[in-house]
Amino acid sequence: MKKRLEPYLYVAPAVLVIAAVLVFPLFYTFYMSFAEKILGQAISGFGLQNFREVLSEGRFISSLTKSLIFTFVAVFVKLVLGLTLALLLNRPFRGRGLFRAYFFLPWAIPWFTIAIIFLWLFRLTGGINTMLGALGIYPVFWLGRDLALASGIIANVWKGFPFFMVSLLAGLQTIPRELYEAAQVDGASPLQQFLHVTLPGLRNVILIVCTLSTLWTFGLFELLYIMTGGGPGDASKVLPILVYETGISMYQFGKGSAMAVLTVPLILIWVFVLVRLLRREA
Amino acid sequence: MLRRLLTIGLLVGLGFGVFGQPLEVWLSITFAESFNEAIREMVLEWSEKTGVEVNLILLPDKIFNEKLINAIETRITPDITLVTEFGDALAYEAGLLVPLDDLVDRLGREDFWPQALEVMYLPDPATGEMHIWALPIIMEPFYWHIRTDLLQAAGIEIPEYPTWEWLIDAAYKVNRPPHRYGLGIGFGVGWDTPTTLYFLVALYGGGFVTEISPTGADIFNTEPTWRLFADLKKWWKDKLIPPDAIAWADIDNNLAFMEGRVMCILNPTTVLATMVRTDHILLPGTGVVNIPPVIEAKESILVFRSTPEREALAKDLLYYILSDKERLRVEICDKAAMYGMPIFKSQAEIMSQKIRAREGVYQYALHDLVEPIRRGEFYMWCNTVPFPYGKAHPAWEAITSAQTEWNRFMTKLLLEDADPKEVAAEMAAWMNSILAKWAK
Repeated sequence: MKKRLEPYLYVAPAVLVIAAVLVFPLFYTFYMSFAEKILGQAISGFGLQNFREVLSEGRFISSLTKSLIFTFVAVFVKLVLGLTLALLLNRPFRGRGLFRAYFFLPWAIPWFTIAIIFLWLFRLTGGINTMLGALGIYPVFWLGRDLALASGIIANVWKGFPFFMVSLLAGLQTIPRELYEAAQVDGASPLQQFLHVTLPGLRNVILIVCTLSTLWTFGLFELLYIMTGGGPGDASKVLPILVYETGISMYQFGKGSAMAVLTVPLILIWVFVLVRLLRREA
Repeated sequence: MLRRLLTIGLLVGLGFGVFGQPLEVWLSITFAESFNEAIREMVLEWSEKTGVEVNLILLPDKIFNEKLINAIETRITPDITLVTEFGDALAYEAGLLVPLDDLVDRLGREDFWPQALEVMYLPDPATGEMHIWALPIIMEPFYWHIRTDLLQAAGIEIPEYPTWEWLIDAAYKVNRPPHRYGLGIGFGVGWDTPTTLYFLVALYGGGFVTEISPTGADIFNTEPTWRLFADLKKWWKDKLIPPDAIAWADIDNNLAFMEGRVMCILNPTTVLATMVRTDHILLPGTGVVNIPPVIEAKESILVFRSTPEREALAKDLLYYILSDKERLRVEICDKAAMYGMPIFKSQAEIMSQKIRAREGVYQYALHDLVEPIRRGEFYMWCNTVPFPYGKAHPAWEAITSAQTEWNRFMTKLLLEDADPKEVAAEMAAWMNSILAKWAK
């Protein structure tokens, strides 16, 4: 009996800590999403009012759409860029270690700093337009309505691609050389080798990094909050900004919680798909 | 090992029980470093003098605001917050504040600007008695920074007390888009948008909120706002306002002015102070003026409920800080390019004299900046107090802090070319929907 309980005792502290910092806030947010609750005030009632309001206003769907566009475009570009660089840096050449370290640098910079850097670069009189001006090109309104979200994506990609690059580089090094040699013997072209050896060999790494990056990018708040504040208009108002503004700035804690809860099924579906894909591989 | 840890824990717990926790003071860091440092010094001096331990925490404003809101929600509050720009009304509604009437009397009630005491003069939720629940530690006026060199070059005379009509006329005369714009007002996501509209709506004779009810913001959807919005559209189309102003963060109007892109901006003198500190090339051609109604952001003091002893200590510390009126003025005004208007009339008079004598940094004031304040031509605490309602209210805090919404309405008006009446109606409906939640 004692022996059977022992493993549970070992993991109990970790489980308790996770429950305190992860499970409790999750359930509390779920509970609050049904509460008519203004910050600083007692709960005045329970029901579906918050969900009704959120779904009827249109702002939630608009922000959700922007979040999805922001996330999927950013993750896709990070994947392509990360994979390209990983393939290049996987080849032996002089100074390879230096380049690996160099390309990894953006990953080490905090989001806050990245946001400030890109805000300064993208201002109408900022670094990029100064350079364009030197070339005789008319300044571009990077943070305007048409380009604000795209500018955020560029900043996100700049910070995020090293994670893909390093993970995929590690994945590439686990693919046995014999597979490439066998493919070459069979007359496979470099493209065929990439499609039939490299990509299948990286499948699990790609799935995991894409999932992690999707979750991080979807929940990213500070980058666009600092760069654009969600504007102009609603042009870059992604879901985390809307939830923050509703729940904290506008004191409508219950409604903000309802917005957060409504995104949970999306995240669960994504994780479910990943688990299924990984299982199929196994 | 475990026993030793438990013993240490017990001793620490007992220690807190016997000696009490230090008095906790949060200071939102202001732009004026000298002022922050002076507050820190005064807290230390008081602590040494009384032997009471004080835990002074300096926080950047955004973190300060979030921390304060969390404190109000969890009811785990500090003893004092200083330079609170947001959340006063929420703290009052939550019943967490201590009245400060006795502190006001001790400091000399007649020496305060009366308007500064009025906006948080509210009934005690328990007894219904009227009390003062917050004091400003400084008032933060929004001055018009103008390029005097451009005006002189264009042969435009600056009247002693400029009017809005004069400013717009001058702005048109020096307007040279895309290199230079006449009117540097921003409508991006930030405090500058509600502040600018606060000024303009007041100037046009309109209002935001009359009462906390589902129709309280109907006053906004009236002729003055329609007229203002029509003018804003005209200035936008005439390229009097820079096209990127719709995406300006709070710092961008400062930068636009210092880059020479605009003839004027509405801002606290953080801009002037930076120009003085860096000996900016445009400084000799820069001046500040008041165009009534002057907008005074508040930076207030709150004392939170605890025990009678702690509350008394908190007030004593505040008295120690505020009673050195001269020192406060020197740190926030003389050393910070007139960043803060003194809360005491006696100190504002000294400021007035220094302006007239064109002494030091006061030479950049183109007229007596105190005069409109003296005449009562100002609005207090724009991010906490709607007018004509006139009292601090959390519903208004919720409305002004929804900065992306303000930007959304301005985007609709200026970029989507929407009808002024339609935007005014939508904005009023949005404000009413928030007021309705608090009216329940």
